[in-house]
Amino acid sequence: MDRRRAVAVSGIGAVSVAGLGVTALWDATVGGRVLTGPVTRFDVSGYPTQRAGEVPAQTVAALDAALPHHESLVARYLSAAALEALGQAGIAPRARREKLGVFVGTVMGTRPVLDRAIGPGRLGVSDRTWADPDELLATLCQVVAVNGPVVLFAPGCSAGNIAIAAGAAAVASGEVDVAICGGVDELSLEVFAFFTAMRALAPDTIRPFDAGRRGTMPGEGAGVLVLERPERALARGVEPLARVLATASAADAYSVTQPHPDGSGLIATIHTCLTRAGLGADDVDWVCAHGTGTPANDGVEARAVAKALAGKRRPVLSSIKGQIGHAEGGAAALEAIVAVKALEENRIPGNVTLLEPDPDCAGVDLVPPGGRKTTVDVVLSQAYGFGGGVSTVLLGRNDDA
Amino acid sequence: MPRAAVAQVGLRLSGVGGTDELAGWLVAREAPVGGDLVDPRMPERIGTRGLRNMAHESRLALAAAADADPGGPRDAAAVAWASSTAGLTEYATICTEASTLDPGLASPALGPASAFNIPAAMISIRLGLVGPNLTLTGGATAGLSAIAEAIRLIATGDATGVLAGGSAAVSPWRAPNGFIAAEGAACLALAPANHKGVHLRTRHRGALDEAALGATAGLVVATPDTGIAEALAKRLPYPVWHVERTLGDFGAAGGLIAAVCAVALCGETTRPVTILALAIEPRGNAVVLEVSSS
Repeated sequence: MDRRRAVAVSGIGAVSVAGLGVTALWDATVGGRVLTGPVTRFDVSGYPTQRAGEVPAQTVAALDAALPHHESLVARYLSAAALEALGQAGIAPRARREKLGVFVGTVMGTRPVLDRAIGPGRLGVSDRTWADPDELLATLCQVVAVNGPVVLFAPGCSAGNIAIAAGAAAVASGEVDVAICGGVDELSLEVFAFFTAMRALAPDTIRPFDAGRRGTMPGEGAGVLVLERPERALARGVEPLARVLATASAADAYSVTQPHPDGSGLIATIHTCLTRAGLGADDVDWVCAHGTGTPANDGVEARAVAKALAGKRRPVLSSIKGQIGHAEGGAAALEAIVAVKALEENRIPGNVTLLEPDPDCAGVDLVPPGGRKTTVDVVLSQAYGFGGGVSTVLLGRNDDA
Repeated sequence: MPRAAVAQVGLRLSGVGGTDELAGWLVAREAPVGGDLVDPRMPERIGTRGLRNMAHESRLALAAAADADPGGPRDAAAVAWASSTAGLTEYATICTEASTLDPGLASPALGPASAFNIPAAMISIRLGLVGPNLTLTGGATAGLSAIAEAIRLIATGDATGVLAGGSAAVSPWRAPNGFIAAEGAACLALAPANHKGVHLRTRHRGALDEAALGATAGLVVATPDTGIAEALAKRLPYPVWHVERTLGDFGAAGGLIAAVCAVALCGETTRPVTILALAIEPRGNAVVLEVSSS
């Protein structure tokens, strides 16, 4: 049995387009709300597409009131999500008896500060936060006493899963008692500009796995999971929420912007996860897809999942990006949180914006927009990104020991 | 704590041709030559296709990684790379284009190259490495954590070998910290610890525990805080080298450069020796790597 099977998720926290907190995210997800909308953070009035998944202004204001100010939004998003997750886990943020490490993933980190700095005239901000990625962790290290490793990953959009894998390994090896694992990014004009130039943005709605899908939308937010050995949580009277059954990472080694047409990296990580967990294809109740809604991604992903999880039934698959946008470095962590909730609530979120399934995705069971109420024991959550990195996390119900 | 062996080293550093030269230079404590532009000369087997449009830092990284790459099976060969500067110039260029050009006219090719992970991506793509592909960023500890994660990938069976490296490029967008802004790349090819040679072991990650700085013949420290480096040099009973003062500031790659210096110093003697590499950041986060020759 993989030693990582003995790693538990004891707390989760989120800042997302749905607002502050996991409940807001989960309720919006299973409530079928589509939260992408017009960008208000910066001026996109001249752009052909003008929509994104933006954390509401009132949520940002609430963070400002609750946390030390930081020039970078990611520092605030991450801290708020971490405090929520630690609170659920029953771990005091400042008093520290256990060895606590931080493992966080991002795509752009503090660089979006530069969006505000560059424009006509002089630089618009006073310091160089954009050039110091470590600043992403500054607020977290103010509000949480950290005595273990502090590790910041930036491997592309698989960042959240890479962070979960590293944190789970650190717990399993005994390097830390508690791992704060998460992913975070903020909406960036730079990303919006180059996605526009790449013609990768949907003008109205993200429709993952739909025959008429036209692209994705940038999003933002933070997701944090607290990992530890289950007996530590139980000793505090905290029932773990889920187990990390296995993790695996790979690279497509094919293109900076396109997934390998065979989905080889994704298939390899799925096989490795199942082997490590001692499970078969039919044991996976839900695949929480990367599902960006781009023509390039979704067909490849659906075919790869169908091939990797070929069994008695078609793999059950849906993407929540149609509802919340692509939160980049925050995406995989937010999806892992939704996976944990699916295990808790025995409910699979649907492909809310799906109108006409792409025939190229016929090998998978695309969950209808309304979702499904069914037993959920095992969830596979996968992510990949520019650069070709792929990372997959296999989560199981807490009693699946 | 698991260990890994250093199979090969690749360097693209200012004024340094190889580890022998680097060690001789550290031992002699000669004046720093950092800060010069570094030639990203590429091994022939990489070819020239696509290099012209590749960012300078990615070329440095690819050249160092290709030198270090021991070949062998590709299917579980991983990359663990550290950089805080990769993509920064491209990010700033797109911001400038977004503020001066009509919407939609920013360079589409620059976008994916504006993230931290472009060196690791190019290494994976050009060398055909399909194992895990990690990029770490942040302060100087990122470079040593890249090695720690690489050792972990080998220990858990996630990878049969890892190209663990770091790189930096100079641009007007970097944050000055009082040291010469250095550019360059270095890469250690790590393999399972099953043969003689130089081995690496992570001694400590977290708030600095000085107990982790014992049993060594020397210490190479990467930190932007001169006070910390000077205090360690004064207090510790063995030689201490400060990367930023000696070679310049490599940002997140600083810890990796400290490890390469320790590997080079281990190669200076035929006796078994242990040299430590330490990265420590102003907030107190530290990583200690043990580098031992047998």
